[in-house]
Amino acid sequence: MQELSLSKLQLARAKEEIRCCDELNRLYGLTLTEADITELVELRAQALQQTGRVEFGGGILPKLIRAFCRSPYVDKHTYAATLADLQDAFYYFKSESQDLFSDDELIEFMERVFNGVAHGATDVLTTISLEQLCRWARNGFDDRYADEEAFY
Amino acid sequence: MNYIPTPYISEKDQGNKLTQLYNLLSQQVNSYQKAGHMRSGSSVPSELAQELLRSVCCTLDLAGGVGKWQDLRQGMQAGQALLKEKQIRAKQQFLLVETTLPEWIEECRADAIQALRVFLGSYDPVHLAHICPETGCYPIMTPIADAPSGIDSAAQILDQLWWENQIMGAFSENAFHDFQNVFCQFDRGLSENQCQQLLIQGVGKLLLGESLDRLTFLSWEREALCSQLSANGSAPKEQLVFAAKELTAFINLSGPKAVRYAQQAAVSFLPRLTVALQSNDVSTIFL
Repeated sequence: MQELSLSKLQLARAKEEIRCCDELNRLYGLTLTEADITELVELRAQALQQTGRVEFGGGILPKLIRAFCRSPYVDKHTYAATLADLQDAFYYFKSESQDLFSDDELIEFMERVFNGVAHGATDVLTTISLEQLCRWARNGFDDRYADEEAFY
Repeated sequence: MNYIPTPYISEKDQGNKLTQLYNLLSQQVNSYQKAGHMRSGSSVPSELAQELLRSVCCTLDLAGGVGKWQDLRQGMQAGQALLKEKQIRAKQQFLLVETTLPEWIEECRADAIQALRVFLGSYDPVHLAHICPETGCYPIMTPIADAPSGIDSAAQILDQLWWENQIMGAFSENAFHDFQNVFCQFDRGLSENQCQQLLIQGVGKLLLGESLDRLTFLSWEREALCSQLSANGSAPKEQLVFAAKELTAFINLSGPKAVRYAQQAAVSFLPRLTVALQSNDVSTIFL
């Protein structure tokens, strides 16, 4: 009983933190409905379980929203789905890297690849390895992608 | 998170305590990250969260338990203050053990001391209070019960090492070196406790009514011991326990801890001794 109450508290807090990003979303013509928020929070719980992680506070979504809402590749029609994919990718990379990177560093890597070589395709992020993510984000420069401005 | 001892607090309070534990764990994660043990982040691996929670519960147990405190943060503060005191005492104990070591120590004992040195140098009473030293194959006399904190298990091992130093130092140098020469054969020092072996030698000598000037046994002495221990009227265990007590008085170490250690050491040989007596060959017990 007590654990359920605690879970409800955590879920409520996570939703509230996402709602706090409403104004920022509106600046970029993006919206998240209550149904979107509920689904994102539930998907967060699943992603955490799948990657064997525990999270305190509202979660990583507010940071992801702040990083990706201004991306030219984010579409208002697929915004919620994009955030869900980004969230999945984030927890996957976090576990794969064995917490070698801080949240902010990892989000920065993801943002550079998403806006660069991935051209906003979340399946690129969700299918590449951590090694590729870091290489593209850090060393970036590769002859095959010489024309990609994101690497400079 | 099911660490709340439900017999001790009411169901009404359980929700409140669970929330407080959750908040404490969240703070511990932040603190662990700020201490540089890992990069900052909102999430951590479940295994780490479990270890941090174990540490929280260990610390609260030390301070009287979850039920004792309305505000668990105060319980944590009290527990951590106790842990820091224990840590200081354990370090002092270690210095005492180190400075009273006999000239030669067996390999497994050296490994245990090194493990304790590493443990005390890296023990984190704030985040991982429950972690115990890994002293490997060194025979610990008294089984370490579920110690509320890892530092308590270190203190118990250090106590044993201290008493062993005292016991080994109580025998004459010549007799001790003579014994060591025999003990060193067949790599006994890799996994056997020198002090326990020393004690059983002394016990054997006293059972024969001989002095402790020479601690090793000749063939006829072993035969006599076999007859004595196999004789009806007094079980081998009773004879060993009695002789062990006498031995501590002989070497002027008759405090209750020294007696208890000597008796436990002697009795620890009983299973092997029982088998050896059946074949009338105690050469592996009394060297």
